[in-house]
Amino acid sequence: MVRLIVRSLVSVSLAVLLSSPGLMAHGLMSPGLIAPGLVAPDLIAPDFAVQVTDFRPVTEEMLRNPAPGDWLNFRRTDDAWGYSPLDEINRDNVGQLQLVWSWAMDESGAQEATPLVYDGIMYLPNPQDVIQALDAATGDLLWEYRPERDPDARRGGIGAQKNIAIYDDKIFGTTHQAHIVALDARTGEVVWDTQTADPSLGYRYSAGPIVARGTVIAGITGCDRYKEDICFLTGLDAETGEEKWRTSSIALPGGPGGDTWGDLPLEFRAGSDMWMTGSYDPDANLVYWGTAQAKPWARSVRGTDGDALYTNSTLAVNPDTGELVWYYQHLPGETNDMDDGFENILIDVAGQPSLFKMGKLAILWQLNRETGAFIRATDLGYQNIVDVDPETGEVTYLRAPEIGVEMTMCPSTSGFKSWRAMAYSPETNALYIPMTLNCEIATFGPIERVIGGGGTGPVRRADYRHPDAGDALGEFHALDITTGETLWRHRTRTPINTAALTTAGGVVFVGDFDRYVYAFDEATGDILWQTRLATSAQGFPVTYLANGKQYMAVPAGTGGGSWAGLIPRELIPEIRRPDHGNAIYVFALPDRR
Amino acid sequence: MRLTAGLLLVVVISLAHPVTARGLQATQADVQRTVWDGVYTEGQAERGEVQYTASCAACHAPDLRGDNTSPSLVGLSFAFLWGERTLGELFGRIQELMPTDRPGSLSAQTYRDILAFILRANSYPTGEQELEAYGLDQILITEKPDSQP
Repeated sequence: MVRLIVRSLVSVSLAVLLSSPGLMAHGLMSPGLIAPGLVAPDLIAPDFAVQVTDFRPVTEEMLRNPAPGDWLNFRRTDDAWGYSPLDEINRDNVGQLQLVWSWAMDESGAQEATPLVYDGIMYLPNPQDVIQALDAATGDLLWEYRPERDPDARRGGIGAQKNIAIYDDKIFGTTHQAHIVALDARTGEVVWDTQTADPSLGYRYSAGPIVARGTVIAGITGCDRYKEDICFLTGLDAETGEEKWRTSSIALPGGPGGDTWGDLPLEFRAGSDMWMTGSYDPDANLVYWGTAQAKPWARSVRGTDGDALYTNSTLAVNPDTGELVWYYQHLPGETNDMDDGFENILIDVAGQPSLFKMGKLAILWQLNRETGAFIRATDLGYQNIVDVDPETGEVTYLRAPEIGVEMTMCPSTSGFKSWRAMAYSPETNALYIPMTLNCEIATFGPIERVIGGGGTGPVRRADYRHPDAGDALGEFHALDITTGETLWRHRTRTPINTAALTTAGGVVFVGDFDRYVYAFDEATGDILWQTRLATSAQGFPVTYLANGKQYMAVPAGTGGGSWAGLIPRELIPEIRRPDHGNAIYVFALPDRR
Repeated sequence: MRLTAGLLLVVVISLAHPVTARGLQATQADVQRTVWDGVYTEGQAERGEVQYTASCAACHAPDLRGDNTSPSLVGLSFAFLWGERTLGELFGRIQELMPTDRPGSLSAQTYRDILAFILRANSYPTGEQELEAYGLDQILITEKPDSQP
């Protein structure tokens, strides 16, 4: 699987500045967006002596229908189920799981990683853009991509790298300096590197790409501050890195939907970031992306009562052209920091090709994924901010902030649901939803409406426990999507802190802030196994085969947003976690003797 | 002399502005100075800038004007969040909760230096004395005296 190579140190010039005429054609970028002289840092190629051998290029067909033992996409499959057909580990034997190997990861940023696994190799996104290839059976390092940091460059955000993508013979990642990179999957060496935006303006990626029909697609974030440009989704040629298209996630003045921002000029239309990657339906040939809320958060602060398209929406985009085929705005004119920019789960229900989405309010949205038509909304019943009509999806605001006026709201701005993705089980027809339950006393404040200003807007906040949740901050909720009824729920003292992982073994895995990892019986909610890590379980667990044996890998670490920061610190200060310990832990059944 | 002026200012502010319960408690019992009295030094702010860049800028941005999940620490935002509250309250909040991925992990001196940097970024004047461990509860964050009615 691996062989020795001579150590090499390769500097790759990355002065890849935007020149794609397609950007101008869309009218989304002005000449000179990228600061003159902005040069990306050199990269240091792997400086150790192994690589992946016998690598078989990943085909379109493999991506669309991954082998059972591989985890080839963000949530394994295009439909983002987070489900594995493996059943060697099952409800009868999961109690015997043992730690097989673990691996400490980069400590300089937030842990929100999803490993990819292909042919027994784990490709692991670390914080701050580091990507490693490990032997998935042993944890031996095969190569590492570690971009050299420009000490003068702005450090973009908390450093999370949620996912990477694989296609052909390349690994694709996105960076905190607003680059999309392609690495040789055998060696980790840079094949191409394309900068899509100016990081000095705050632009960066916190979610990785997906690949569909040879196009690498990624949505940018850091769109909160006022600037003379806006948020976008791009498609790059997987072979060359050339930008093929760019689609704005904000309606332009004078364009379709442009009047939903009132009279605000382009530079004061902020937000609509994309901090989770998309899903793909190859039959409809559409990719689905969630967008974040408008900025500043509150209508009264951002200066328009309009719907502010295409914020807080699900976008359906043609992956070949970038054409916006349909959109559905979940919360028009959202005003409490309750975004729906999370995972898009594609399930056919009673013959209806559906897309399921849950945002911070813990309202489960079901849309027709071919047309964008609303099908159903299921409110889990914890929020008190809106009334949603379950038959039409129409939203009526109960609590909209006014500047300087104290209000209470459930959830807090942390949300009941966040980036910790749900998983779906076809055996139970249930979604398994990682949640935290809490509320907030909030007073929203003003911003300066000037270039460089804006942002979320200040909020004087005091979090408090949800009145329905007792001593618990965490809830792992199994929801039957055919009935909309709760199958079971499990409360934990601290927030549930990983994505969910469902398996054909009848077991669903998840972890919490308090360092526990659990295996539940997916049908009953009984805990079948648990263990405890060095710090919070945090990230996206996966399962895979290596050398014919099933493994389950779960990331742990720090950072991770207010769920793992302010909320537990304020509401359950007696439970602490170490402030370091980014790592991945890999479990398997004992070998048969 | 400076102390007297500060006390007078506090009285004026207390009369002119309704304040929160916490702020009222602080002003009545303890407050003797405001951030306009030169309560930190340039050197302390410079030390704080280095620490801010290392521990805070990723979320609050190098220009302190905030990011997707973190508020601006300057201008209207800072005045809204911390106006009529004391440096002691702000220091306590920062020390208790920041940085969010490793709260309380910096030394008290480092937190004070970062506080000095935030004060400088808000154009509050420097002085001869550094912010020290004692006395933060006696320093009020308030509007510029000239802007008072």
